[in-house]
Amino acid sequence: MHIMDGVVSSSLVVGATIVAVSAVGFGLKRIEPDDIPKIALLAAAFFVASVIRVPIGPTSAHLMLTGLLGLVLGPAIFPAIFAGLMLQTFIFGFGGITVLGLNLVNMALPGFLAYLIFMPFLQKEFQSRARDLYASSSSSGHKTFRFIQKNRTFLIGFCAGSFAIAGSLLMVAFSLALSGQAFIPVAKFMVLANLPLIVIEGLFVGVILQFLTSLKPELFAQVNLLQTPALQSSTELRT
Amino acid sequence: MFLSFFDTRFDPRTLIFLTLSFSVVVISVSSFQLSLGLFIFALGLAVLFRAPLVSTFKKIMLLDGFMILALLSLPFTFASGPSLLIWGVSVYLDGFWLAVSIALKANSIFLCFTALMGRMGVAEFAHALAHLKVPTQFVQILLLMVRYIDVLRLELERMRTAMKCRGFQYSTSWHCWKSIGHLIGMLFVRSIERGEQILTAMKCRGFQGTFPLLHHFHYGRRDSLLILSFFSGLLLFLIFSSSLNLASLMELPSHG
Repeated sequence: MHIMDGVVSSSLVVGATIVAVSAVGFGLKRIEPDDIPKIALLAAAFFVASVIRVPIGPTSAHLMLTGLLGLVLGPAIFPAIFAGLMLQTFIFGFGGITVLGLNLVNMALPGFLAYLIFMPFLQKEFQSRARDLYASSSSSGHKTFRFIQKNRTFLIGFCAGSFAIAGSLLMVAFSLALSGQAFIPVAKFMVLANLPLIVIEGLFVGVILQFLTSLKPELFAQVNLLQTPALQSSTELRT
Repeated sequence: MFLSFFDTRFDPRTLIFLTLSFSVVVISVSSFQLSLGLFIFALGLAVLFRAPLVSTFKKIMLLDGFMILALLSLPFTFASGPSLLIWGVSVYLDGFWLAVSIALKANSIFLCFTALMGRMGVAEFAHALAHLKVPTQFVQILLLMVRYIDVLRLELERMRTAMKCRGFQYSTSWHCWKSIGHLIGMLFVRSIERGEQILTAMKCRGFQGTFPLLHHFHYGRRDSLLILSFFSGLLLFLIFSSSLNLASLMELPSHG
């Protein structure tokens, strides 16, 4: 879902670059010096993981996993993806030079939004897991209800992954549509062709999140949610 | 004498600056003739800087293969202006010229990038960014990524081989997808553990939040000369190509 050089109008390029630079600055400000190796290695892992092709019938697709990256890295997703895009441009030659900022915004912003929306749910899930350790809860009720109870982490991951990729898809389509009448059919086609990918991406992020929360829960628990005022208010609303 | 000038090593910052300004010029022109002129200019740059022929060609094929699918639809979907009927399908000329000019723009930016920055290593590029006052944390992330992408790729290959040895086969099934999900999850777990090891190793060596910049670049007279000749050449090409009359070509036989 990369936009190439020369497609979008120059005013959009300028606007997206300004947004991208300030987002990267925002992300960098929230990085502790000790976190840098972890962030770099996770960004490298995402870079490597995008090579894996998932078989879907006769074709195959590759995953973006920006929703998961958002949940793992939080605001640091902006510098991490920016570095990845830069390396992609530098090593492979495609990815575009002038559209670097636009591609960053299209990929990282939905991931960051997924972090803002779904991280509180994940924290709540951790808290309820801790409670379940003390009180053995005999889950009762309807079948579907019990299924949801059992797979809450998976569902959070599914929603975050689908949300991030759907957001990216819409933003890419929107940037194409903004660049001229000519691209509207292409944008519509792109959204339609990628609709199944939203579900698949969600399934994968769900599975990986379940895996990571059982193997390395400290990865998610360390994030200090109270630092961001937007999150504080959203948690207050729900309680 | 003239050609050997381009063989000398320039300050990487100069090359980054020139590539960026060329890209900005390319995307901001709107007419087809100017795009063509800029493409020829970029081609000239690639020749002057002796971009490696085979690898550049391969990369360009990759780029164009990537683009062609998206661009092929434009002549059929962009319904404006005169159209031609070919085998019962109407092909819109405006869409066609738009697709050609996008391809020209993307290719000329790529050519300029390969010519000027193709010989620069990633580490040198990151150092140049640090000298250009890009925040040091970002440069560190970039450098560590460069160092560890290959390590993690090997790790992934190892895990895939292990899966194959246990009889794993790719298929469209929940089991296969779940296995791939766990493979990716394991890659992340290992990358995080590796990151912790790196942090400890860096701390043992007295890391204090910055990589010392040992490599210093020297902006010299050659760089000024390059910038001067680059921009005067660019200006010359723009003036020359805008005076060309391509309008007659673009309004070829129309039956629309």
